Amino acid sequence: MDDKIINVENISKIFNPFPLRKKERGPGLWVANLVRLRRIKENEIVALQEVNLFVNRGEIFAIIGPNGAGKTTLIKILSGLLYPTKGNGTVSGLDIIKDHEKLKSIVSFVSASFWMGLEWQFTAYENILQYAIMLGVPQDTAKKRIKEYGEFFHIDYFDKKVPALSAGMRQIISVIRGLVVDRPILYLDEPFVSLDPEKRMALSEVVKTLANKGKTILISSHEFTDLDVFHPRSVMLYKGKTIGYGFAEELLPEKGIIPYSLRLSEFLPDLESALFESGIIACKVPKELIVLDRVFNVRLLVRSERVNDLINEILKRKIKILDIKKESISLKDAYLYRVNNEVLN
Amino acid sequence: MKYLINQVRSIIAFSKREYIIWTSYKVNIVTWILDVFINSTLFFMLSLLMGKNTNIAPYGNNYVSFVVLGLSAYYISYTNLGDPYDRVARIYWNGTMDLYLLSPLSLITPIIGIMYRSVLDDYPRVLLAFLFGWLFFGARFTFYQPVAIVLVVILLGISTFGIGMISASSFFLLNLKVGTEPIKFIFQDIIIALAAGYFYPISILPYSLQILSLTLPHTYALDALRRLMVPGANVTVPVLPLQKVLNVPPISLDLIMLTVMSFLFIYLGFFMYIKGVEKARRNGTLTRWQ
Repeated sequence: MDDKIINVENISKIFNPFPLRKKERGPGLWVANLVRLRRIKENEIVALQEVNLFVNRGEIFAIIGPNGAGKTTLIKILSGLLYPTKGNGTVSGLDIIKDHEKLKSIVSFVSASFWMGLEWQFTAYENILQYAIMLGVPQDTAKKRIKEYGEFFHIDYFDKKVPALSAGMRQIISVIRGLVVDRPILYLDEPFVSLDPEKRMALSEVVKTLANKGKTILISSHEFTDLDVFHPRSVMLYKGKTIGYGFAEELLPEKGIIPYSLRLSEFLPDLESALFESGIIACKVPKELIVLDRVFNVRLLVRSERVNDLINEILKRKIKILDIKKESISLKDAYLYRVNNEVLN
Repeated sequence: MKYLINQVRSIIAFSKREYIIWTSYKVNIVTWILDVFINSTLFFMLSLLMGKNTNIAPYGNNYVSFVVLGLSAYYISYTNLGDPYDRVARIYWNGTMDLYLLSPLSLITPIIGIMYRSVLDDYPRVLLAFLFGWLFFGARFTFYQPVAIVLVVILLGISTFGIGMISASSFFLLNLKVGTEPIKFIFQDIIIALAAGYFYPISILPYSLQILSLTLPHTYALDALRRLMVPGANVTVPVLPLQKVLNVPPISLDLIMLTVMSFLFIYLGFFMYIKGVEKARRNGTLTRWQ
């Protein structure tokens, strides 16, 4: 599988938005735009900073990071919608700047915001078919694929017009619209947004099937539970910088951290602070805190040599440990650890 | 060849979509007919009032026919010049720019495809203008050289579409996403309105405006159409300053100038639009959502 299909080398992207004065229009704006009189360095937004990565053919690769990390910018650069300010890359051997027109025939792009582009006067079915024809898919093939995906995702609202669809329905229609095109490389930008659990599982299934067929999938998402199903290699971005790269366990820079799932009779903030300050746990905030029937389910990133200390600290507070289970490192663990540390630093 | 077929298929698909959208608002059709009728009537009433004192020689002797041709050129030019910017704006604000740019369509195909709405909306106005002029106001026309007439109309369409594409390029090139678009404003609302000669022969204009009118395809198209279609028009007497300077038959000169302008404006329009898109790719202003 070591066949690099996407290569990114030192890509940076700096946006320099044009500062508009309030209600500005007319000849003054034309001249100002033409000569860019007010191009101000302070307004620059560094969306990506020297990002490097590669993706193998047939691989599912994840781009993760908090809001504003640069995930969508990176995907847009790789699809030719944006030029990088610095650096370059290739997709299937094509230069992402020089050959961006050729990228169109090998890449399919699904974005969470693409439902905005659905034609409101059309039915869900017509929207998908129109787009497929526009992208050069023969009509019969497109109809066949729409039917297949419709059955797979249990879509019974193909005949409804877009305004009658819920946010999740519009999202799955946008996803099918991208899948019907059937290109060797698929970019999925936040594809799970607004989807119900059944549709999320179905989409994960489709992604796995496509990857098994040799398609390369680049996926950006906050839905770590969905991403962990693929156990993907990932790049973790934070404010445009790469803060982690590799499989989930490689994303943690500190060795010897083990996630533990605990069921406790109680979990108080002072326990959490004590565990963190004494170095027993590596991540300050336990993000997964679920209360079910007065039971606290907590997932903690514990330093392996301090597991006994963890148990002692809990018992010292007369908290009952109903269950304790060793887990493997997930993307969410790595994400919380890295982002937590970035925020603290 | 396959690429071209795909572009044509896409334009047809766009056209169908525009038709569905246009007809989904039933009231559109009623207001459209009313609008055409009232507009045409206003222009004809005005022309009847002015016609008695207006010398239109050598463009024949029927002032209503003269105005019908002016009105037709106005409709065609208005659509071709004004539509591309509006279509680019619609694609951008609708959030479909990303989809089109990721498709194997040329940059221009979606704009042409979406302009089909104008084919439904604006171009039939030309036919109605002819019909109303003929039925109610005494307009008469000659069709001795239909090939030349069709050629002039096509060249007028191409050249004004070229100017329209220059106008559309400002959406990205000047990053003008709202407010008044300068190229359309300068061409359509100032120069063409003053010097195109829709409702009067340009020979009555001050000489400086006559010179300005030489930069417009409308000038040559209207000169040729009126010579070819208004009964009693003279095809040899020069009217335009360029016709007076060059020893070339007026209609031939009109066709040459229209051809040159078509190539020039189309080339400039496409070139500037592509440059605008390139600039937007660099600046990150290509799509609504970054």
